[in-house]
Amino acid sequence: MRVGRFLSFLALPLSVVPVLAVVPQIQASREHSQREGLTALAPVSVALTPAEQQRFRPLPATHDAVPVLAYHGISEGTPQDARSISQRTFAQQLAALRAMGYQAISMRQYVRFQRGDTAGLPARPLLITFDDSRLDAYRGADEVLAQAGMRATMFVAADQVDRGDAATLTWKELRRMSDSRRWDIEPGTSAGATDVTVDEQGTSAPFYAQRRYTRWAGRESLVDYEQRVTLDVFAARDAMTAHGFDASAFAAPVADSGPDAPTEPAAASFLGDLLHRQFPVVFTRADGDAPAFTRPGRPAQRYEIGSSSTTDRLYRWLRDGAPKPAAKPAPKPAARPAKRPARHQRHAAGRQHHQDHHARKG
Amino acid sequence: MAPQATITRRAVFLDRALRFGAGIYLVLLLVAIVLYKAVLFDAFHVSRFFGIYGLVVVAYIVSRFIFSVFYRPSRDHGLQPRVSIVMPSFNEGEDIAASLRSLLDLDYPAELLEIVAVNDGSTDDTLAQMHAVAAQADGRIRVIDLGRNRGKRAAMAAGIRATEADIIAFVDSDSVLAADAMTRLVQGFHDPKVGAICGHADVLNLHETWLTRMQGVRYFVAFKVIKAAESIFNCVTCCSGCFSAYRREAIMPHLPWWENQTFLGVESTFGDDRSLTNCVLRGWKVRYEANAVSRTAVPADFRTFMVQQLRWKRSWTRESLIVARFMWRKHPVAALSTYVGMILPLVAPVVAVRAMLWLPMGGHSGLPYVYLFGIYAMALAYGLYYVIRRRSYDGTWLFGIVFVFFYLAFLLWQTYYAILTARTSRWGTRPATAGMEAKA
Repeated sequence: MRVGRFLSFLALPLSVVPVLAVVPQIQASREHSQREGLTALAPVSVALTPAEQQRFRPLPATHDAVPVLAYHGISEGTPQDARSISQRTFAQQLAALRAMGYQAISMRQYVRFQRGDTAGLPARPLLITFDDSRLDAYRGADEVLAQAGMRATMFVAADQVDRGDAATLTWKELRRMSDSRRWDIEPGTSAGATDVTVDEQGTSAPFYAQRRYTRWAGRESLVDYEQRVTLDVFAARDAMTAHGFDASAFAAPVADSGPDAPTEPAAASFLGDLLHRQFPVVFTRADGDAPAFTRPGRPAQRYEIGSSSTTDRLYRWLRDGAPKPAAKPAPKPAARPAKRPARHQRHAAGRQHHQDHHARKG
Repeated sequence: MAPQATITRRAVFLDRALRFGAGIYLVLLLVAIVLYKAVLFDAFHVSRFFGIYGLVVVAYIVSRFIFSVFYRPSRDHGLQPRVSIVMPSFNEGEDIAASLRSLLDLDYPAELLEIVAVNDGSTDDTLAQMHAVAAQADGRIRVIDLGRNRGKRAAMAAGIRATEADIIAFVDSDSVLAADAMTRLVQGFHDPKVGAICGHADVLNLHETWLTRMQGVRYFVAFKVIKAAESIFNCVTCCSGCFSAYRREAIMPHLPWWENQTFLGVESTFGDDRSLTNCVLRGWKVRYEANAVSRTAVPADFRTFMVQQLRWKRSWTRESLIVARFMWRKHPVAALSTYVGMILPLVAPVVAVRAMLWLPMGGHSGLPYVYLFGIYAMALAYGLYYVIRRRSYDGTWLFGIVFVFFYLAFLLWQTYYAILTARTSRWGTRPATAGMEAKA
């Protein structure tokens, strides 16, 4: 009896041990289950109506021009932000794209296309891209892409991934995506997926678009802007290579201020030079709602898709952007980028710039 | 004896310090659980259904503890109504004499207390024992012999009809009452809207086996926390058959229905206490009186215990269907608690299977930790509560922890079986009698 009483006394403080012992296990299993629970969503089955089948007929072949789509988030239900669409809408758009005869190409194929090499491209090539390495985009899109026999490129916001943001994919997940061969993983930015304040009134603009304003230092100088942006671009590229991914294309994220926020001419000029020296393919911000299809050696602009983008608008953009059926497909000249230096030169320039930059910093 | 007094004072101080420490520990534990749930609120996104289940369980348990803190026993209003204690008995020859004597020892005025012992066709010496005690009781005990076994409800109803007292109390034949139990129990009837009061029940044979020790902690928490929490809303859903009292006018209109209650065409032979409480709860307040203490014998072996629990769950199933129909008219918190209390046991086995079998088999290693930790935290909370609220430190609290895991291993799974077999009228723990067999 006395022993039992003594043991029960002892058990009081000892009872806390399982609590303490289990806390890390719970934390680990919670994280594990959270990510496990966030696998790709089952695809929604979408069938085109007879009217849609009639409307979305195969468009003319576009060997020398590739439309590029820029998606952001894919939500399970109703989109929660302006840059997301629902999984159902995404599935509808892919079904329509298939009906129009489009086939999604890989980034490797697109890089070759940008160099003017169209060998092996399908009749109606299409590049599907996603920005910001959003988890919901992967979850909503992956199975739908698989079902439609398509693939896509994910542009990564490396700093967000490093920070382990819950809404952002992890490096491990990005690796799995890449291994599935349905996804190409490319750099988007490091910390540039946010807006910066650009004037005293608190106006915001995309990270790369304008010089930043701070109350204590005022408007940053162009040199400071160059340093900030260069550092970020290199950080983005280095993060990708450090994790074993390619860095053959770059797409600066469209920030909250939207595509209408003006880009400072000096900034745009510097950024364009910088990016083209670093990456074979650079996607710049679209000038308007309906950018032209991308062509070798020309600025590559993407058709932004958000919550207001209907399948019908997408169709109209593709129809209007595609070569007219009357035009006879002429034998294509080997379209080499006229203004851009050869690849080895560009790389050399990039390295030089990198060195310059570090020298300046030092 | 100064040194002895010093030792006693020190022991009392240590005892209080220990229980105070346990109190702080319990509060911290509950706060930690709530914080844990709040911090990991995003678990919703993983599985909305199971996420909500976890939140509801925590909210339900923590709210029981919080409500019970606000529970206050009735003040002594000096109330001494005429009380009749009805004690039905079937083959309780071993215990009936002690139970009846405990009623004679009550410090309630003898002229206001009537004891009605009803022999429900016992085949042992129960009737003889009743007569033997009655013979020495100066006419305070009336013995009614039903002649044949007609079931507990019939025995209780016969006792009710045999008396005209304003307050009718029921005491199981395997329960004994503290001397002041009746005096304290009736004080709640000072409020004319109170129709029934449930007394507190401790375990009589606490130290008999590990099973009785476990039940000791369970009874303590079930009464001091669950019933106390229900009582602050005047909505105790089951006045335990061990020891309860009813206002005569609250039960008489329902007596014929209650006595002949059927479920899916079969006569209801058990669940009399929950059913009678339901009858009263519709139109009256029903309270719990923590200071009115009875002690009751509980099953000491596994089989008897399991059969008893199955019977209780069947009764719970039947009566839940009744209480669900009117509870929404009661206090919203009590109503919500009751409905949640009905749903949780239905979902609990699914959650347990998912957490301990389905997910680990599916490669989601580690997940049972969360579930088992939840079970452990609940067990620890019950155990600590037992430490704090007993008059002095009692090492039995450890069995409270064991009980929760015992519940998980054995009792959780009874729910569906009990629902599927709720129609049966077999009592289970009592030997079958001619009457019971005929009804079954």
